[in-house]
Amino acid sequence: MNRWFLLAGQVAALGTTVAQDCEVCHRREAEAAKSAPMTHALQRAGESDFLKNNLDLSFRSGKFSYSIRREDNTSTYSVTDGIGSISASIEWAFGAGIVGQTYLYRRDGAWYEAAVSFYPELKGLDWTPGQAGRLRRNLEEAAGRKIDSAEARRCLGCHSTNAVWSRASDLESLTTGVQCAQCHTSAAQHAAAMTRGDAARAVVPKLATMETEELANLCGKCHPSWADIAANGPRGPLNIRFQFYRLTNSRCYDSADRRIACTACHDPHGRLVKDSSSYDSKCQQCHLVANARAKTCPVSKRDCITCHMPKFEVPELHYQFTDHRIRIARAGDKYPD
Amino acid sequence: MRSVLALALAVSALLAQPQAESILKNAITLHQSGDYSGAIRLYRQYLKVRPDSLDALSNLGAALAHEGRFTEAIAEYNRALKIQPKNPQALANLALAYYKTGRISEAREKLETVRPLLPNNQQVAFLLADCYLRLGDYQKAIALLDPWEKEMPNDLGLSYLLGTALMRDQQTERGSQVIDRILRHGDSAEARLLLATAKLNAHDIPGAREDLEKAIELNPRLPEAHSYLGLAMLNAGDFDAAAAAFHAELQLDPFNFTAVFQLGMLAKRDQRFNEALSLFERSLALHPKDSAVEYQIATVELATDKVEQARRRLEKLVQESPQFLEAHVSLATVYYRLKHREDGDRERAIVRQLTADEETKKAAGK
Repeated sequence: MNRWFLLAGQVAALGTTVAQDCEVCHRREAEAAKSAPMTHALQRAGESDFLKNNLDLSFRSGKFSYSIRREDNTSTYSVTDGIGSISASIEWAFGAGIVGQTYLYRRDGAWYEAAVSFYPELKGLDWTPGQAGRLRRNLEEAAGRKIDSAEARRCLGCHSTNAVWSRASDLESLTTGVQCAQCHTSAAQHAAAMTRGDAARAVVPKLATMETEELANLCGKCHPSWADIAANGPRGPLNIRFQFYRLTNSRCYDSADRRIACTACHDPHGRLVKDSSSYDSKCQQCHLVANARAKTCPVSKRDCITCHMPKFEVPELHYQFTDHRIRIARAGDKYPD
Repeated sequence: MRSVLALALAVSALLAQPQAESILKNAITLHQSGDYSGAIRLYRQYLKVRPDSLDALSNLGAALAHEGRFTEAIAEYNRALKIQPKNPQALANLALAYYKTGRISEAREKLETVRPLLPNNQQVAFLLADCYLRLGDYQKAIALLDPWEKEMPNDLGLSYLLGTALMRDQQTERGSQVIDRILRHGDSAEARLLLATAKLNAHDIPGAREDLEKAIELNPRLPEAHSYLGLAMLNAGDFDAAAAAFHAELQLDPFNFTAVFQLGMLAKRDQRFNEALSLFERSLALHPKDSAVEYQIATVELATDKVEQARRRLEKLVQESPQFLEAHVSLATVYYRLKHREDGDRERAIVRQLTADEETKKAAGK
């Protein structure tokens, strides 16, 4: 048995045990996390509700027809040009499905991203982000985009916990979704020490005390950071998806002020709160009383984000994103980059 | 006693003179017959007697270069140039040795020195133009080649160099005219490579790939064809094929900057940071002071927690290139990691300003 296999076995065990061990003491967080979108950022195809509930999905573009059909707990992705066809079993479903869900399949030992994704807004398929403009000269090119091991590692590195690779492209094991250990990196050691009653070794860095920028770096490991977008784009409305970049460019952003950190408004253990008024108290942390650094709103004290964080739809993604660049947004204003 | 010894030495030198000249003659004969190692041995023997012989030093350098011993050749040419700093032959040979060892900026420097001394030497002009091309100084290459084009409009080598410079300088219209002229001579690997360059510029990746594959089929040893195929594969997102193409280029030319640099980028992408660093350092030896390479080294330092090293490098970089947006972005990240919040905020403000300036320029361009 090779070393990698042993390591894979050990890590896979930790990946599942940690969440259970955490729940013993951190019941509230663990319970909330069960329904958090991040926990479901990756699913095996057999577990995807979208695939379970949509037995026959199809999409057509030019001479190529795409379908995803479900039979016996297996979802088969196919593309045909009317003459030939390519089919493969979907192995992984990426995304909890708030915006959409993208699929990965394997063919001849290589990983591919399916050319089409599921969008709840459409209740159907459309191009996977970034694939609409690709050249499709043959079935191979039409079916999907080959992803190499480095990219697959990056995808699974964020959408799962403890992904372990045996060789360049063979995935040995992982725990689906973002589990405790993904952010609390020493959770396993902490759990083991607590089980032994070793309080000295059980001490772990407290994420709640992190500074705004440190926290941004932590979240930015998976949610593209300010630096990622500032250096590489995209520019224009497409960058609305990158919340930290948008937030950092807000006039009220202060790298020293924890009241503007990601976790000031969002609980990473829970669901995304969609009720706009629930964020009012967050805004009023700074804007309740006018002072030298913050003004109060002359229009309303309620539903701040509906005006100051307008929503923009990215047509390609069939979803309205909240613009995290907090500002006085006026009708007809150019999209501020 | 001392005067007796001096007399003895003088007599011995007089006796050695005709013998030394015959050694040089034999060395030249061996050199001309292709026995380079024999010639090297005799030149060295002769130089023991006549250490200041310009011809022997220059010939020794040439014989060493023929044997692929470029480092030794460079040392001999430099010795020759100490005796006669403006010797055109030694300068040109030294430049060629630098060029062959991938020290392109040093080759360029020597060629720029020798060019006014040999203004009509085609080889010197074309080699200098090729150095400009390799260093990304396309406009200088064009300016140098333009007068030659008027004199030799049908020279394929010249058209190829000029066409490449024009295409890489995005002078597509004029570049296309040169390509047409090349194509009149029939399908060729060189023409295909030029067409591919034009297509890469126009983001027609499948078209570029097709031309590059054809170019390689026509001439598998065509310089830069594999490296350009690697770039096309990178653009197509096929990283394994890109790496294979860059490796193929390095088999032909171990000093190809694009191939070395892009392999570094691929290693960095795959988080093989030590390998990436070593490839970037090789890139820097090929393109000294290249800010893009310096920046990549800083990003590897940052990724491997050498934050202080990254800070020093990035601070130097933004000082030299204040408009280098990515360097400011990374420097902001470095400052926040070092908890120099105010410095981080300042860099971020610079990034915002540079981004806004870029957008304004784009809008004005439309």
